[in-house]
Amino acid sequence: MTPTSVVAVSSSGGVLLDVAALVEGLPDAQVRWVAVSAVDTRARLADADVLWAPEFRWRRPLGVVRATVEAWRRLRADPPDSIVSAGSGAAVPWFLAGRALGVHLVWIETLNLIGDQGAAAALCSRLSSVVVVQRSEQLDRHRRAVLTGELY
Amino acid sequence: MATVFVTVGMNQWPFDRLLEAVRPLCDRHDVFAQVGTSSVALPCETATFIEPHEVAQRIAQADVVITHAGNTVRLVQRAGRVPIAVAREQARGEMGNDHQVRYLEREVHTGRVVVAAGDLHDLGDLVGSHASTEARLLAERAAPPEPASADLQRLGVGHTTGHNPFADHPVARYRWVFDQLARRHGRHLELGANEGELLEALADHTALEVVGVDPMAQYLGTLRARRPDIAAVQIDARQPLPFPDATFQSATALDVLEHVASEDHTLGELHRVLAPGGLLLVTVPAQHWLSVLDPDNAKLKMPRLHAAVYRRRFGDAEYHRRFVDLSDGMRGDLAVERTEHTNYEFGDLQRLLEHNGFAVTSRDGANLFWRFFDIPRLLAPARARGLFTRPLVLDGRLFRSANLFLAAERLP
Repeated sequence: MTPTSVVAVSSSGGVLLDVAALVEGLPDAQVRWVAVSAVDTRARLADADVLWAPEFRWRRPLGVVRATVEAWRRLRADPPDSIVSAGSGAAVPWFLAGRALGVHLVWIETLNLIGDQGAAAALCSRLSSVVVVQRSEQLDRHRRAVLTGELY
Repeated sequence: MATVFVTVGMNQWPFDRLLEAVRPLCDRHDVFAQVGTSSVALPCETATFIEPHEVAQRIAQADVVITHAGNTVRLVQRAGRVPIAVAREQARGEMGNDHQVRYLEREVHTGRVVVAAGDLHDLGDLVGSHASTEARLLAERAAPPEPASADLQRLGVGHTTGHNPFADHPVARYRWVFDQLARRHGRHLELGANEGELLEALADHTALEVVGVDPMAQYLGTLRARRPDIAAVQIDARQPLPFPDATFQSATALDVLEHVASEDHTLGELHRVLAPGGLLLVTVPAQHWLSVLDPDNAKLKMPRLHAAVYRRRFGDAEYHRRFVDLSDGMRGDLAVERTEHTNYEFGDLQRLLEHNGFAVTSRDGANLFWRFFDIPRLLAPARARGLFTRPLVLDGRLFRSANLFLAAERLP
């Protein structure tokens, strides 16, 4: 059986803990990381296969276009089975490119998100194949969601 | 003197308000502060960023942890401690949104956390009284739930179930249900089995031992004639289900609730016959912007038009049997007590399930225009029905608005 391949996209802080908790449930998977460089991401991913990426900013739309083209090129060259992320801006190009290429997209809603999502999270969760939620009240805002309980 | 650990997290936003409030504490306590990108100079030991293992170490060693309202709140709580948390506010330039404010507004009422807000003038008092406050909150409030190990197959990550016999079926709910049940075993009940199309697939392609029940003898007759090996039981929908308590490990009620006289009675019975921890799969029409055009309500809202169309397609005798003779308690496929073919909001259905002892574990949906293809398909001559199949499959894949699918766990 071919090992499943996953691209995990993460910024720092709680997002990293969420994404890491999920992909650590796949001990046999080939995990490639796309991460925003920070103290915690550098420490946690020291031994991982990592592509360091900038955090996306809405005020730099051309940067997003360039990043999406780059993500599309990388995904097309070596297509993963799934892309997993909890946020935030860094995930946008990968979810746009992944959706275009038909990759299974998993969006994790962070535990402390109460009320409205940010723009990047709203876009990525709309693009995703399934949204992971950690509290039952988070089920209300997504049309396709799985309640897992708290991940870390 | 207390050992105080202050952390503002790993993000790029400064949090000067918190660090200015920490300044007076440095004279009275042993303070270490991780300050991030803030420019505030504190008269105590500081570091811009520290690695995760050091964060964990300092949380364990500190008498008091003061933190922004990020993931550190949970890390401190999981260490059996109570943090003093301060939310970053967008209006003060401390973050790009107010997620932390809303998180603490929720957490302060139930969680093991002390919340400081505003100008933080009371931070010193909160640190001074923290030992007693912490002891009280640890005694009064529940610990956060244990971290879950996500079932990754439920998320479609990793090696999934593979073949789904309903992959190209016009009824999207069958595809979803099969995915939910493909890896399960034990006894399965389908309430509202109809002619048994789903039951057959479950019997043939899964390890489930299936039982179908339906109030309609005609449907069950068709099922029995085709598959005598599948248990098919006729029920009176107003009576208890003819099974002992905790008989089944899973159950389906697909487009059933909107037809029954009492949803509470039906869900109560499903709760009774399911074993604790059992899986219930429910599908219903969803409330959405085209609900007002739901053709299934035609028989109630436009009975003359409905009678004319139905009689022309199926004959007077069939119309009389289904819609005039109400002795079986049914008007067509709706209980006579029912005044509408309900289209449900997610929240309403979630509350209904919770009220009857279930916890919703996932939701999905399908379709938008399906009834406008499905009703003509049912009315069309058999040879023309295939014309509607492809549009229905596409509609099921592209949209998630018209039908609501919920999986729920039967609580003890």
